[in-house]
Amino acid sequence: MTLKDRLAKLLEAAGVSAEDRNMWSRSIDAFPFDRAEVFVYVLERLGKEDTAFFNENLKEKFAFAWTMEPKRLMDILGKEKAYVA
Amino acid sequence: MSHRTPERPEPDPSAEARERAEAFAAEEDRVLSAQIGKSEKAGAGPETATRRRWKKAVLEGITFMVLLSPLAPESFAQRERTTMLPDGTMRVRVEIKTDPADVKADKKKANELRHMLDDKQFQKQIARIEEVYGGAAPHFLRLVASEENDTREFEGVPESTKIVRNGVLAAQYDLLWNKGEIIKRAGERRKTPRVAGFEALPGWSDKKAASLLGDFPPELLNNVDEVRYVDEEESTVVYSVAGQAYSIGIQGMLPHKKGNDATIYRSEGIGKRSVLLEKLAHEIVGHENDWETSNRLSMKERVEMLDEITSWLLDRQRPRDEYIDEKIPQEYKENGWDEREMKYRQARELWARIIEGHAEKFTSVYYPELKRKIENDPAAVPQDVLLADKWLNEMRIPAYTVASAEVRGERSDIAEGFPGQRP
Repeated sequence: MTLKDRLAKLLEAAGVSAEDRNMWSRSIDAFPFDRAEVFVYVLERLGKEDTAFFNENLKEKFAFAWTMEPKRLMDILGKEKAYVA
Repeated sequence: MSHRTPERPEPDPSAEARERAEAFAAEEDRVLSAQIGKSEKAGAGPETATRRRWKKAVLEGITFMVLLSPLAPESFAQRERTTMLPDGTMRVRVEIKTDPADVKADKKKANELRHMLDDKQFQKQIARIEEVYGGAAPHFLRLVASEENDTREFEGVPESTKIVRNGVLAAQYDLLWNKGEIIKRAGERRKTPRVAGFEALPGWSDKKAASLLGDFPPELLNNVDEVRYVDEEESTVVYSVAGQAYSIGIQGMLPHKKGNDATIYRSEGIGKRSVLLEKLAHEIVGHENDWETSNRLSMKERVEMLDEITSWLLDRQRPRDEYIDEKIPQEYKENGWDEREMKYRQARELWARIIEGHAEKFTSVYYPELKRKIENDPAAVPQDVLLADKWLNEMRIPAYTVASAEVRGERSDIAEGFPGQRP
């Protein structure tokens, strides 16, 4: 099973839509392969509800990165802070 | 004269957004680290602490993905047209060019893009690459597929829509396919890599290492931000690692300030000039200038280069290489990793090994001699050297060559047969 197959499987199990799975699959190429391995390994060991949060977060960060909206930054940081607590 | 709206100078939103995103990454690390430290002080058990650190790592990984995602080139190509709004919706500004010259120029570029995508040779190369690597093929092929879709479905579309869509295709063409534009953009990035850490290597200094690196053509170094020596040994389960290239991949095509980085580790003989030169050649000239990482290749060339290196990888006449043909397969077998991903890794390493193995030949001192040999008797030159020479030359075309070709009224796309650039 390729790394992307593993990623697709865990995202599907967490109920992530096909469109969002495509966004993950294309974005994971940003990592050098060995880093992507670690990333997927950790994702596989966290829960489905975590994956759902990460999916939402990925979309939020994309929206933030390509706009210049400070309020959005504070919203994302606030949610992340609560999430790791 | 063109009649675009609005016609006013604007800051590059892509660069500004990127700066903000990078600032976000730093702020995120500060906030999340403090939060984890606080909860661990409150007495979280080891398992909970590990999960928190993993969550932090994934969140920061996501920020990294967003900064460097392959989706970015599309965002870049569309950047003047789209604005994400705080409520998550997107505003798209549609401009219809009315100047016949602009409309014609965009149509010409869109047709050129179509022509390149429809080229039978190009399609065969892609098919061969997909056959060998399957899902492990590089992501820029997916950009090609999405552009193929964009160029279709023009039948029965109103003329005004065609004009808008040709404008989008023209922007994509200039960003990723138009060699003249690509070289001009790369030439605007006047950068030499920062060299650091070499004071820890006996007999060397940062200045001396920078001078050694400077033996390679500047065009092959200018997409690299930093080269660092780390006085530690690094290894995998199978082999020792002499260096590592951290590449931003095809993102190097975007005119933002971030480039690639490379690290050289302590390894056997690294203090010797010839060994250090080889390691620098492998990591910098090789890995930072391949079909994925170069900021000076068009899409057509990326596909052609990968196809040629793949053919060489699979060629039975190719001399065996312990690292490529034994250690990498062993590493993948022991870890239970995918075979197609192994093949792709072998291809990238093979390119870097070719450059490493002939490092001296591609320095400014010895290159003229190699060039003479290639011109006088190419049959006597090993095939891997010919391959390296062909592709390094493709990446060495300096920006002024493009500018002067345009002044002389020659074609701006110099991908094929520019005088004096190819053996």
